[in-house]
Amino acid sequence: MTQADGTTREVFLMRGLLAAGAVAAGPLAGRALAQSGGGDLAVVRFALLLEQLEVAMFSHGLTLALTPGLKGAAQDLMNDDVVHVTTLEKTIGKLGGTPATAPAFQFAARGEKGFLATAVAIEDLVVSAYNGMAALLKGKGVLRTIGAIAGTEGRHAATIRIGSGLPPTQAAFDPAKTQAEVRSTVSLWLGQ
Amino acid sequence: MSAAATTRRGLLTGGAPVAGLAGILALAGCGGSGAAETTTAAAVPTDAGPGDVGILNYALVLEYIEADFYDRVVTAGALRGQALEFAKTFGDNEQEHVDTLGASARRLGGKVIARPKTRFTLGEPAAVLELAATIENAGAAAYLAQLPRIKDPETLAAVLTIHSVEARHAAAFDILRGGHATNGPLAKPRSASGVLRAVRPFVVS
Repeated sequence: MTQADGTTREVFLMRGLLAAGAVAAGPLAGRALAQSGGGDLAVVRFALLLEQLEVAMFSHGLTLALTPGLKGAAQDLMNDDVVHVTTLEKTIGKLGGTPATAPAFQFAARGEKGFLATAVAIEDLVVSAYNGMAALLKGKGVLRTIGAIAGTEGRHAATIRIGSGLPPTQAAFDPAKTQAEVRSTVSLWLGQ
Repeated sequence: MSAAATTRRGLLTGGAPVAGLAGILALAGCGGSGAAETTTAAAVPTDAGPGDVGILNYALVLEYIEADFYDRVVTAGALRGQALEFAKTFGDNEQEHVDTLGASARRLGGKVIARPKTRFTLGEPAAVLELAATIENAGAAAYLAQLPRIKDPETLAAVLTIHSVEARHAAAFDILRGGHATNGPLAKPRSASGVLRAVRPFVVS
C-alpha cells in the first residue's frame, strides 16, 4: 500500500516510530531515508533554511526579558548558527547554487518560558533533520561540513535542554527525520 | 587468532586475549610493535574487520569504555546530583549504542569485537567530571571523523543517530566542569590514533 506522498506504508510507519524515538534507529533508519531526491545541493539548501530558522529564533529570544545567563547562552548559540549560515552559503556556492535569503519567521513566545520551549523544540528538530539529511549526501567534503555542524547542533540541543531543566538527551539515539517531516514542523514558524 | 595478532598481544602487558583489540590499540602507538605501528592514523587494522565492520568495532571499543566508565562512576558513588543523573542516563545510552553497533556489524556479516577489560582511577568529583568530559569529547570527535569513511548507507544512518547523542553527552559534561559546551562553531573530528591515545589508559590489555 502506498501513502499519498509515494512512500510505502511500512516506511511511513517506521518514520513515525523513529520520530517518536520509540525504535532504536539502527539499520531501519537507512530505509526510512531512501525517499528523498535532489542531490547534495538540495540537502545543503535545506540545512541553510534550518540555520536561518535558528538565527531568527535566537534573535527573537534576545528581544525578550531573559535572565542574564540565558541571554548569554542565547547569544553564544546564535553566534555559532550565524557561522553555520555563512558556512552553508559558501558550500552552496561551491556546489554551483545561489543561497536563498531567510524567509520571514514568526515566533509566538513572549517570555523566557515560551522561548525555552521553542528553542528546545527547534534544536531537537534540527538535530533530527541533520541526522536524516547527512545520510543522503554523496560528496565526502559536504558530509564533513554537515557532520561538523550536526555535532555542534547536538551540543546546542543539550545546552538549551540543560538550561531549561530538561535532560540533555531525548533518548539513546536521536531520530533521523525526512526533509518532508521537518518542513512540515518548520511551517509552524513561517510567517504568512 | 592470527599469529600476527598473537605476537602483538604478547608484547602488550598480559591480560586476556581479545580478538582484534590489540590491533586497534596498537594504533594508539602505545605498546605492541611490528606491522600495526606502521598503520596510518586514519586506518583501522584488518583484524578488527575491514571497512565498515572495522569502523563499527572501533566505535564499539569506545562505547564499551564509556559504558564501563559510567558503571564504575555510579557504583563508586563518584558523582552526585545532576552529574550522577547524567552518568546513569548516559551509561544506559552507551549500552544501547553497544547493542546497535554490534547488530550493525553482524548485519554486515562481520565479527563483533570482544569487550575489553577496563580500569578507571576515580578521584574527587571535579576530576571525575574532567574525565567524563575527556572521554565523551573523544567519542564525539571519533564518530565525526569516521562519518565520511562509512560505505554502507544504513550503517551511516545508524551511526549519525549515535554521533549526535555523543555530542550531547560531551556538551553536558563540558558544562558541568565549568567549560564551554562547544569547541568552536564547527565540531572537530579526531583521527583514530588520537582518540585511542586518549582512551588507551582506560583499557587493561
